[in-house]
Amino acid sequence: MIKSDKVTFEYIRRDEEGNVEGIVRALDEVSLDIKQGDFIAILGHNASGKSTFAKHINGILHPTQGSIFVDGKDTKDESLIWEIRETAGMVFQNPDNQIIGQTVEEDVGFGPENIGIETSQIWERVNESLKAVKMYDYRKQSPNRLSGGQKQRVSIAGVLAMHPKCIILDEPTAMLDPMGRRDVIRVIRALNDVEKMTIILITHFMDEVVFADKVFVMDQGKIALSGTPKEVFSQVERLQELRLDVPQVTLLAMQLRDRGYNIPKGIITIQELAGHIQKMV
Amino acid sequence: MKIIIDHLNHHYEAGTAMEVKALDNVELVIEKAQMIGLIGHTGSGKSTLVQHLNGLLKPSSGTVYIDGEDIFEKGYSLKKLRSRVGLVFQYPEHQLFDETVFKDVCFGPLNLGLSQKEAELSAYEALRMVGLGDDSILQSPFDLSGGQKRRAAIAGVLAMKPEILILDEPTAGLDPRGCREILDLLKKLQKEKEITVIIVSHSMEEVAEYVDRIVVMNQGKIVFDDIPKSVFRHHEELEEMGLRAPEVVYLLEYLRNAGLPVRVDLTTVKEASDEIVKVLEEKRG
Repeated sequence: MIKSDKVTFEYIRRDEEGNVEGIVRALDEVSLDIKQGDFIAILGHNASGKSTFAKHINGILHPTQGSIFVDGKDTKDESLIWEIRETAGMVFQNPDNQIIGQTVEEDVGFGPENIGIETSQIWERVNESLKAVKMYDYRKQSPNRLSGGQKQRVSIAGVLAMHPKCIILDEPTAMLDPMGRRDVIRVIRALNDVEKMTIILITHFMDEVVFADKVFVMDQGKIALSGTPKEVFSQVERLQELRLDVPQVTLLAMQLRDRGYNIPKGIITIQELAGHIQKMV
Repeated sequence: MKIIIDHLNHHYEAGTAMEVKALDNVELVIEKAQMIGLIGHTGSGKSTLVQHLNGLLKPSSGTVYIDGEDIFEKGYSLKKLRSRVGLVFQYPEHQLFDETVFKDVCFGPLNLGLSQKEAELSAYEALRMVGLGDDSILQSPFDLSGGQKRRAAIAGVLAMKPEILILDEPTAGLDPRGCREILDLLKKLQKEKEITVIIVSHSMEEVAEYVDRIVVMNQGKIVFDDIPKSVFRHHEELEEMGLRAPEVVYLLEYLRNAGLPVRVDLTTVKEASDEIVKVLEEKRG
């Protein structure tokens, strides 16, 4: 569904007079394949290149070398860019920067309206999208009065209304409180489980990626680690070198293992760890 | 530098149809050089509360005493207040504006009326405290990394030599290592400079590890005010308020319910690991 072929992205750093100071290689030959229906997580510290990569998927940025294909279409092809953006929708980090409608339903309808969908169809899409994110009851409200988590869910509904095949979420919970984070992640999981939506979640919160099918960890523009959540989480020291933190459960499992207890690597849930500890009694 | 918050009430849009009671009879005492975590869901009143401490907001009733003086009394110098109580808003790097980091950090002290030389000395000291070296301070603030920008913005407030430092979500948007760097810095300021630090936060794990005391707000009221271990024992009530306890609390309870006699009032990974090992050894021996 999404294919990244040796994508490299460089930009020129200039000083205040416009003189070239250096070239920054934000992405360095990144290649990966995402299948329809996958739930993919891309992790990385703040300057790792993960957001830069996300912006390539729907053509906000174009590679300096290499290519990205969405559903077989090359993002560099100007004539296909709008189709690509209908196929792969994006939700950004700041809830306030994405909402423009006077009411929730107006905002969600903006996208379909812009691509010329017929009016009755727009309402249908708006309603089903709001129901999918559990914000249907708020449809007549002004977005100003919503919490961060609610705004993010409205943004997701706005993308859903475009009937995409894939949703890319760039650190969607970074500015939310724990409840808001939980609600947004719940919606994302439901979209993947029930609607079989392809999800690409960019984050640095490891506890959000526990349910992903595959995890990529980025560092300095490259993919440094990849695998299932269990495989990736077992490499605690490597993750810490990459400036990431593992969930407390995983760290605790590692500490117990270091103290001589027979606990396998890659523990990611409380139930798993408790199970192993109980066996030792 | 003792802060006493006395029967503080604050109504937004009082008298209108949209009146909101943001603070409801809040009472709190904060002693010098404590590190306090102020937690609560969005809308609980925590940001409203801290904005009273440096006079940005005025109460509807009640008052705040700093070192025995009523800061809302006529004639109390707000300028003096703001040199003693520094408030760092969320995403403080959005406030960076000057040509160089150094000039940006001088802005605050200059505004307080210090001479150029005094301001520069304060700025240099503050930048050293946050760990920004000579090579970064002459750069444009916009060329720094996210974590460095964050530290530069905090330096801008530290340069005014506050006795109380309040930070609203100081780790928001930072990656895990960035979070640790900022929290370690705040702990250092508390211990070495005896600055009272108040952190408004959503992250229970962070708060549990670093603060001496946690104050939990809900719907404008203070519902808990105690050491972290005691506050997190009430995790069911915390969940009803949209908050959580650190993950290890849930693990320890799970084990206890399954029959392992572990303590459940621990909040960090190291404590939990020590406790589990202790109990397992006892069972063997």
